[in-house]
Amino acid sequence: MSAHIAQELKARGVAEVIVVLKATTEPEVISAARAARGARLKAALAPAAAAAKALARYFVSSEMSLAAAVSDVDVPPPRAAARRKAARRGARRVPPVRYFEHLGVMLGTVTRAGLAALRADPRVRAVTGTPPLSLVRPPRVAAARLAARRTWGIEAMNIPALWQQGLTGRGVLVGHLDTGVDGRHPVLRGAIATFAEFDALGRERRPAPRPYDTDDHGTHTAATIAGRPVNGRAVGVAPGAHLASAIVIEGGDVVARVLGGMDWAVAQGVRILNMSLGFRGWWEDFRPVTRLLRARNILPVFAVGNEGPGTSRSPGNYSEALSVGAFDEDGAVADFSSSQRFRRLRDPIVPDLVAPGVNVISARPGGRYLAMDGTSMATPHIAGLAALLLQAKPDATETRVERAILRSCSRRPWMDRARAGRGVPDAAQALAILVSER
Amino acid sequence: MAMPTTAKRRQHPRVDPELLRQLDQHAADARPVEAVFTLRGGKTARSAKADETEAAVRRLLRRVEAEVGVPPVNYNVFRNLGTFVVVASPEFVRALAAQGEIATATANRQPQSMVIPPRARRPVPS
Repeated sequence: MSAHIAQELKARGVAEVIVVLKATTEPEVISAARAARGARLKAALAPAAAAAKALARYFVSSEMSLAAAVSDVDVPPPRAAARRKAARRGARRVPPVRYFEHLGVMLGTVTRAGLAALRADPRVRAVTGTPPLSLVRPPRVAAARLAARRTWGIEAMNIPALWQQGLTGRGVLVGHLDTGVDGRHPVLRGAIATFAEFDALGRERRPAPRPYDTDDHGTHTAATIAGRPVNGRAVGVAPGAHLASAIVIEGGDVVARVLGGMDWAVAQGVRILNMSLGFRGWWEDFRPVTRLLRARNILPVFAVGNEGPGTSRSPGNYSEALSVGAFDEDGAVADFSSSQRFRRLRDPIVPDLVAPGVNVISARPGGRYLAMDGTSMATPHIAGLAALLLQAKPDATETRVERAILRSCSRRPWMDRARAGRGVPDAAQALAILVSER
Repeated sequence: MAMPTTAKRRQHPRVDPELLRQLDQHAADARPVEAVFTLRGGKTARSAKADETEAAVRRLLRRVEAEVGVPPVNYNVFRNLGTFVVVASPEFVRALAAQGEIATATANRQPQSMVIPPRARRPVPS
């Protein structure tokens, strides 16, 4: 059994697999495919199609599978656009397994028993795991304007209610591990307390560079956490908080670089760690470190991923992380927002909650602004909220802050728990819960 | 017959399949491998002081060096996290992974990225 399938079965009780049928590797099929004759190929693939139909019973469609997750909408949402979206989802009845007829390949979710049955079936050539590939989507460019005094995300989480009480996150240091940050952007002037960059062995580069961004991802997420108001317009949730920011994911396939950043952030004395990054699937290796963050009284706020229902990323899918999904301005969970159920007693569903993650306007290197979609954009909203709460109650533990945020959450009537976790937090309620707790 | 309850089971470290692949690949030419190790957990390890972590890693590396006869090429200890990264020969890395203090061993260079690419981006006139 491949290591990936074994890990998925252990963690979730099910695994996504690719099944190659024997009928598709017959000489006649291969020669038809080479000749690229449509009708002949279809006829040659008919036995494979019949086999696929028969083998479909070994696959499962559960709340853990992609099929159920995209169609599981109980209550029609009130807004017309969201209602149409839900209707489309309901109408799209996804079978438990997808069959790619021209390849003669099946893709679906299996239990351990289903996997064994597939392996033993004489019609099956091979069963493999699904490779954890990341798809880099092309950018969508459209006109937008930073017209409002505050972003919609700040309003949606009722953040101004805390600002009115004088809470801005002042005195709270938030760890921010990303692609870097443009420290000269007007929104971020005075927000960066300390900055670092790490090499492939996780060693801090000396002398430390001035804050800069290798991309635009880090500047965007940093400004959502702690951006200062400029010209009366606000993009930052905690405009008084400070950031300990580090470049860790430029050329982001090196584990030690991220660990170096985490280690450094702990040494800086951060109370919250925002990481809008992660490996696709279940990846055990950051778990002991995430536990350690908790033991150091640091709240790990991690993105769950952008690959949609039935998927998630590590470390955002650990029960030890506060994992964040994305919702849009209509109050619907974003189609791309990852969600997954795990076979564990504590915290089986990720994300834990959702935050604004579609059309999020924030800073872009060079003094400009950019709207982006992603759970990376949702995560810093929660890190910023945690900073506001910690200013109000500096002695609160990371567990208490997390509990207050989670208890303040509510799901819109059309939000499903499997997709939205506990739903959307309310800043005023979170504060009330935190200060009333003994 | 019931198993004796006092018997201690030897806990093997969890080794990343990608690291095993790299160890096999580098075995022939003895090229160094980069690997990240996590020290075995437990409440005491989690609350261990940074200096204690560093000292424990140094002791461990010296022991493995004595065992295989060569030192690591390079290493870096994440003192606050109970983890460290080592650049060493495949033989050294294998011997290190077999030590009782090691909980996980992972390839430092991974084939997939941790970047979560945004799903859409639009410039906003300021």
